[in-house]
Amino acid sequence: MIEIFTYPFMQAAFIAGGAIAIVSPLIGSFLVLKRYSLIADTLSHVALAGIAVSLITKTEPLYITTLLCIGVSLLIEFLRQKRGIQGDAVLAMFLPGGLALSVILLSLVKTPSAPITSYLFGSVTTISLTEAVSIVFLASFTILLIASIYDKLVYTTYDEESAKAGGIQTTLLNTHLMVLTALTVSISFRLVGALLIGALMVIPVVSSQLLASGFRQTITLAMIYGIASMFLGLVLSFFINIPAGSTVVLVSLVFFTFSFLLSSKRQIFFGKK
Amino acid sequence: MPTIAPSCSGQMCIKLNDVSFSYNSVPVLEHITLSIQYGEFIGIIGPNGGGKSTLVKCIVGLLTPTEGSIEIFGNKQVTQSAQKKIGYVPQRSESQSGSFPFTVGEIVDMGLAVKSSLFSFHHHDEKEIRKALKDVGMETHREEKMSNLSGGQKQRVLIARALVGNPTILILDEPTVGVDEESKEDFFALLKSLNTRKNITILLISHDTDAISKEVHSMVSINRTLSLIADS
Repeated sequence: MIEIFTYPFMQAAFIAGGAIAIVSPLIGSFLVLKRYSLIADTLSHVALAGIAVSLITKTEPLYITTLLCIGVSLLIEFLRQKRGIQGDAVLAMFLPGGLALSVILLSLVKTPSAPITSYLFGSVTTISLTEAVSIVFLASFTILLIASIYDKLVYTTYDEESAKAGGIQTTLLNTHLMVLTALTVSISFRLVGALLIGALMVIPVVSSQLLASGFRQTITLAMIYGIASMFLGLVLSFFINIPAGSTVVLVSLVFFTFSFLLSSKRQIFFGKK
Repeated sequence: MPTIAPSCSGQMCIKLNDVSFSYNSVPVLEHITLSIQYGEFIGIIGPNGGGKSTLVKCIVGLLTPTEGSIEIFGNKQVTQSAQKKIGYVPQRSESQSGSFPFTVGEIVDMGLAVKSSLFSFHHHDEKEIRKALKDVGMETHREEKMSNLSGGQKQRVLIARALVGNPTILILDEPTVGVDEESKEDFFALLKSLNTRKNITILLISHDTDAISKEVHSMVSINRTLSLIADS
């Protein structure tokens, strides 16, 4: 068991995975509350286009995807808030749009440095220790920023009208949430995979929602689920030799099943919701 | 053009000067002039679509009048600092959260967020939260899930959230929709008590004309224009 930590690529995967497992459910809690869960999937498809651009231009994918995801998240928020287009319609527009663009751009890549599937479904071997440190830095920045606006963001996400009437800058806070979501997606795609990151932002939150009795408790439990899914998934993928991102997502679904059964049992025996 | 200044003596805290509002050139409010003094309890009634909610949204700064002006606390416009002194309970305030697990304490805690600036860590004030809950008779429900409460209890919690920031004005938009008759009476009595004990100026939009007429100082009707129904 201990040998798993002697491989540099696994060390990098655990460092990056730990940071992603904390930050993804944190952001995801606000997205689920806002009924905006699909934004992560939409941005992950946009991230795929960013990967294609970086492969064509032979640049670092992390920076290109971060910039592209942030740009598109701002555009989505602009269309939703300023142009009054419904949130789900905007997402339904950009999700296939991002995929279509990435398919066309990927067809232009002659000799990819890594298999395309490693970007789609994640790979532990593609992350360097330097990249893992960058991910930890960006995740820490995200957590710190969320902590500094936490109360205002909770109020805005729960009841935007009242928050705005109370003088809270709701437009700015919504924009912050979108940018931080974009940042989380772009730091996560290498490990978890562009098509699977949405699951890591949503499944732990939905699982914890079934058992928690408060928003803070939901976030805390979601982070615990996220970390447990990530570490168990990485260990299983190493020993069984299966894709890491997919394993992490399936483990998180096992935790969801556990939460569901436990909450159902609690409702039957104790009548608690 | 109706000009209404209810009879209580004292300083004006809200003054609407010939306010009109239109949605896409369709007039919703026309030439509303109204002065409200500190400590008053005003009931606002009127038919659906008559512009009641639009009027309070203009007062709290969610909408900007297309004509006229609104003075709050002597300021010529609805400033951010004025907004922090207004407690607002909108229609169906917590509907979008669905079954998301929020405790009563967490809901009231949200009201404290208006006190701090944007990038400042949250100052959780348990004493203020308990005081606000006590004011609305919900102090024993601090740890309960919001989704487990009745309609009347939920509205009390939302008032506690509005009160925790120590507002000067409390504005409620149809707070008793979905609340049973018995709870409605208790609810209006609670508002009356807040108005009397804490000297909070209250603006209450409601369909329950009979019930609120017993509690309020003045009652106005909005149906695009404004008219005074009763003034004690």
